[in-house]
Amino acid sequence: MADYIEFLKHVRLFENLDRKSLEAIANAAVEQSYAVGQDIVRQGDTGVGAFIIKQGRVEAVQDRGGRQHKLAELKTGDVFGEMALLDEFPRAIEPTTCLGIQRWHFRGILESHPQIALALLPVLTKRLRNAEREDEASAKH
Amino acid sequence: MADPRVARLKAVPLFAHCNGKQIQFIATQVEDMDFAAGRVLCTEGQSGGDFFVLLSGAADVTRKGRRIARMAPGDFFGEIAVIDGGPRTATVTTTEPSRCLVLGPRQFQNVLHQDTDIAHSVMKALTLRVREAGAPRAD
Repeated sequence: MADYIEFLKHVRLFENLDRKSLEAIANAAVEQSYAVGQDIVRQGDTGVGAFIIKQGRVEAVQDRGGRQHKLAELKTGDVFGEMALLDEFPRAIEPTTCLGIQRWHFRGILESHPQIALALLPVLTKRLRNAEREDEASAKH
Repeated sequence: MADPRVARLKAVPLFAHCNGKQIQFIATQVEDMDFAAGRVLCTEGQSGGDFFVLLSGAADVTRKGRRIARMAPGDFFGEIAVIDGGPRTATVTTTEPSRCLVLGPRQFQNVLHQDTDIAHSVMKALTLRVREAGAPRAD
């Protein structure tokens, strides 16, 4: 667990968190490895809380009526979470190791360590702006 | 003696869980402002600005001239631009004489930092909007 904390300290999303919050995340984390081309989560899978890429590279793909669009590329230290997973799914493009946190666990951590919510706010506003821009663009078509 | 300002703050859902000390602190950060009907509080596309909690009255939220929501007492708005300093995502206009609590970016951060439960509430509101933006259209 100590090496999870050491790693989490360097994750940008968590850089403002105190040791207690990092411990809570580290305690809930489950490590898993993925081969190249393997889906980390399927689109629409709702049991997942958050994933932190410990090593490797991942692409975020969106399935639009059977056609897959690559939205973004994620690397070590990036986090993808519950909201993102609603309409896109991550796939390993290098041998990848992630720390996964179950959805119910993630919610519990947010409640007991609300300072994590504070750190997530700017990340959320960025996502929201992107989502609303996409929404508007698709409404025009 | 009970401070009427404190009682008003306690009635705001966003601050409902705060204890007396936290409310006292929030009272030092917020400003009460009265607005006439038809007053524009945020303008879509304009950068940055304040965070508002509607205490009384009503306001319309419009985007590209189309109404997308209506604000009622207890609702808050302006959190996106106040968090990231980016452009307003919508225009908010009062439709009745209204009273608001107003927090500038620094005051908003002060309040969030001293009571992270408020950050959690704001996060929930943002998450809901991300979901709505990502949801398939009914039309």
